[in-house]
Amino acid sequence: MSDPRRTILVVDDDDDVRETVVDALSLEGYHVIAAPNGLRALEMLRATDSPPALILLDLMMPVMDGEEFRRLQLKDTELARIPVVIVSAHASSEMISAELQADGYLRKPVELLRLYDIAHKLT
Amino acid sequence: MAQLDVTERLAVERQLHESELRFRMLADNIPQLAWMTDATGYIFWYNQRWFEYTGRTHDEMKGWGWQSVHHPDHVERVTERFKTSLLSGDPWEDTFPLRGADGRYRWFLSRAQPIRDERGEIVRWFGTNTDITAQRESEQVLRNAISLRDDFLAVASHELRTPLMTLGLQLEMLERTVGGPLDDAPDDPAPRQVRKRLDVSLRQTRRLARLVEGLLDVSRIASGQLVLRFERCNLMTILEEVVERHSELASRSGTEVRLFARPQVEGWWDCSRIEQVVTNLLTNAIKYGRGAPVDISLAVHGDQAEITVRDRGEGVADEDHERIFERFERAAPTRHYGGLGLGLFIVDQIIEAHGGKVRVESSIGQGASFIVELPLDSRPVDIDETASHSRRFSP
Repeated sequence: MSDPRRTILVVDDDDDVRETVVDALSLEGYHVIAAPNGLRALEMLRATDSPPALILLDLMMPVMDGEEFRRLQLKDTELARIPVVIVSAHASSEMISAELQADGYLRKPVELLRLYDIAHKLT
Repeated sequence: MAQLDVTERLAVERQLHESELRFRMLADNIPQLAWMTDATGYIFWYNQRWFEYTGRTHDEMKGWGWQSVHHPDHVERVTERFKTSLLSGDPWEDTFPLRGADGRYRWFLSRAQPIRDERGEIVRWFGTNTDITAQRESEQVLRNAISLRDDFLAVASHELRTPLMTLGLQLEMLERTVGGPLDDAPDDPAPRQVRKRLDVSLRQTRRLARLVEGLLDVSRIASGQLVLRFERCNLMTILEEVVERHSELASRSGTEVRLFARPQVEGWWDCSRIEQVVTNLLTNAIKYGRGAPVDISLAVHGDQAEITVRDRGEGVADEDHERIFERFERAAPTRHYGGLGLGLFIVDQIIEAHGGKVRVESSIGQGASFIVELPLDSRPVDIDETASHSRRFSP
């Protein structure tokens, strides 16, 4: 993780979605890391010295879903500072992201320019 | 004279007796349970159907004995409401279960009317109980089916969005890799062909995304989760943007979209939802307009903005003017035009949530004008601060 300001963590259980988002952000020059569920994401965050500048978080995931990840993240003073954008297909993702005090939300399907837009703004 | 009196009296008695027989015959042959009370509510007569259904005798049922075949959860309310009617003289109506001879309860819609003498005093009450168990069951089946359908819509639109996201992003990235617009492509036909196919794929993916979005909107409306976010915007700007965005679609179908007068109309609306309304009306007009010009106009009448989208297509028959705004309905036959039949339903729901109205003026062969009336300030009048900038609505 060379430049922590430009690292983004993508948390999504769907392999194709995760890899596509990683690809898209890499094309735009970001350093991207990825996790298939909330638990793995927490492990990665706790293991690293240079936390990412932004987390893109899916909601419905096995093992640990996005809501629980967000709750645990907010309890951890170190990790709580990292901005989170909810990326979900859920009909009320806007309301849920407000409840989870997220820094933004993107509803699936996300368009490339919207993805870049929010990444630029929050990193 | 006296002889005549007796004959007359006998004739009257015979008539009364016949009338009584006719009444019994009728009362015992209707499908309802029937009964009569005196002025105090004491039941002195039941029809045969009552005894057949309850399996009880007259002695068990007379007076207030009927309470023993009522369901314990209802009998108190039923008695109280019946007594209220006895006192007020108002017709009585209630719905409750009655226990049959087989021990099972069935639901009855029950009514009673007071019968008055020549002085207007109530002398009797005549009541009936109609078995509505089958109606109640089919209503329940229908409610279950509707709720299943709405659940399915919500799940389906959710599940469709994930593959759509991958597909869309991959195509958009591919577009970036292939490079700029078709006009700038080199003369080599291969990249031009790739570019063309990519354009079609992107267009169809976006169309798919819009269809899925429609399904999601319907499931949101059904569950009351559609929230409006009010902001100040310029209606003419929205119209111009929507027309611009559909210029390619219009030219492909040979339709000229004309925006005549251009008044600047500002107001408070959920601007992205209003944009969705205009988009739905315009794409409909292009779809059904048979290539003839489509006119869009904007005007202000008092504190209402009025948007009109006029096409010159087949038009909508009078009897369909209301129906087309309902869910899954359409004026055109399914075999001629595609679509889910959700566009106008969503338009209607969005406009209604803004406190406005949408209607169609049209007849067969005359084209159609869709007219949207929208309050310039659509924010709800609630003093509640949280409600002042968003509003939930349900159908």
